Amino acid sequence: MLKRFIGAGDAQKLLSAQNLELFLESVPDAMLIVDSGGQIAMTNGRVEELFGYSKSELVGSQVEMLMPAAHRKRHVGFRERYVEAPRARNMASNYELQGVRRSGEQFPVEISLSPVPVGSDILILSAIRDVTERLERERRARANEVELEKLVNVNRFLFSLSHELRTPLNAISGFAATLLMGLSGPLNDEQQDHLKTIEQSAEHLLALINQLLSLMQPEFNSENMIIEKIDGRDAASAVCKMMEREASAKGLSFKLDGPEKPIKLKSSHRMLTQILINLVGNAVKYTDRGDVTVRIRRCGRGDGAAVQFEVTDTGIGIPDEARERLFEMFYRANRDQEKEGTGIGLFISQQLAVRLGGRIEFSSAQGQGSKFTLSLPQKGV
Amino acid sequence: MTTQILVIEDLPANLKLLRVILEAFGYKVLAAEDGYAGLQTAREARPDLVLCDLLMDGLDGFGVAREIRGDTILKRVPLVAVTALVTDGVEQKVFDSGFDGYITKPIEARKFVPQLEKFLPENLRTSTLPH
Repeated sequence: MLKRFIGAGDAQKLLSAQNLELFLESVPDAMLIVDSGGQIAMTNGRVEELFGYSKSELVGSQVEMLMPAAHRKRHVGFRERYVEAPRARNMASNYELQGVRRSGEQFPVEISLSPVPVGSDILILSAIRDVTERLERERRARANEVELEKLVNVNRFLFSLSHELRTPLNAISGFAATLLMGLSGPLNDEQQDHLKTIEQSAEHLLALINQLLSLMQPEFNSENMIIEKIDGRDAASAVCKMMEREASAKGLSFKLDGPEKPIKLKSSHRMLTQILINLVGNAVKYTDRGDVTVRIRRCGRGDGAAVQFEVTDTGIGIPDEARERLFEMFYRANRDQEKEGTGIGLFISQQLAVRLGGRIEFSSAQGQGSKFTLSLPQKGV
Repeated sequence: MTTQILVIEDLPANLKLLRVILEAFGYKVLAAEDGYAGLQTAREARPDLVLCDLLMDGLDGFGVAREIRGDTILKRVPLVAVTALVTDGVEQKVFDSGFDGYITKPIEARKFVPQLEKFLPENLRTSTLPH
């Protein structure tokens, strides 16, 4: 190639020692020229940067100085055999090559070799590339694959778990109900009471199974979530309607507070609804007196524009020691309050919020109430 | 004549539950513990409604629905799935296979009969009160 433009004679001149050095400097990889005896004849600046030695320290030294001590001896043999039958190739790619910096730190490298005949002798030109980042990327890609496979397996497992648990639960809650319905004759008060306990426990178990199942909803997989233009006000008011009955049964005042107009955002309607059901459901569950308020508002501008859904209650609040662990799977604050729960709701909600590019934060004073704030980006993920 | 309901369900405990509930409401229950037996009973007895589990060994509920909808005599019989399969997409598949209704397990015993009577012509409904 070079020859075609400048002619064979000029190429010889071009490759004077000085020009060769300039040429080496222009190459993005670390370059070494080593003679047949393994002595470094020439290097470029990348070698200095990569290995931490200066050119004057490198030139004239044995190339083995750049390798881990354990490989040096073997390399002398490799090198001698290479000089006998030189050809351009990559250095052994079947095992991981390591370089050693002046500091002693080792790092993975990829090396290609080209023989350069000079008179009767032979020089070896080698290009060295630090592949730490590439290997890290590959490692991460493999780890992601493993993660994905795990997720698929978890989904399969949850799927069959849900089916297998529901099947016997059907007979448990069903027969408790038929007895309570009097289909097998009249019951005394104690019998009725015990059967109701069976029914309630079965309901609790069903809630657990359903929450497990929500872990495997396809939306839980980011690739399957549907991001569309939605009205945040609409979503919140639908959830409030759903929860209103439960709140008024407990004598709580319940209100939705926000602008009259729709609050548009790009998000997943189903995921937003699921998060709000969890947050509002918790507020109602953990409040015995007072009120639950859902407030929607816009905040921020431009790329940072967000929609906030604030759920405030006057309930029992969150104990200090629970703050850090509140979003952990199966963690339950106020476990002693005899409220039924699974410890999955907030975990799932936070996971979903993150998938939607947002997050849930909270503030709380024990005995006075809590405020959970879901922030979602207006422009979607 | 008493309204006949065929229950195809492979778990005896769940079969018994449906029998107890349905008989209490005055229905005659025919039972089958797998899909093939269910089809045979259906062809012989020509029930007024069929309740069918989905996951069963041999012929599953989807297969039963296909056979029933392809049968010249049975094709109009109301067919309701009673299943513990609740994952996304199942309901659509149930209706696509030819079922008229989809009831999930655990069933709600108090609502069960009204739920399935929606699929029975009025003259075949017994009553919503247990006898």
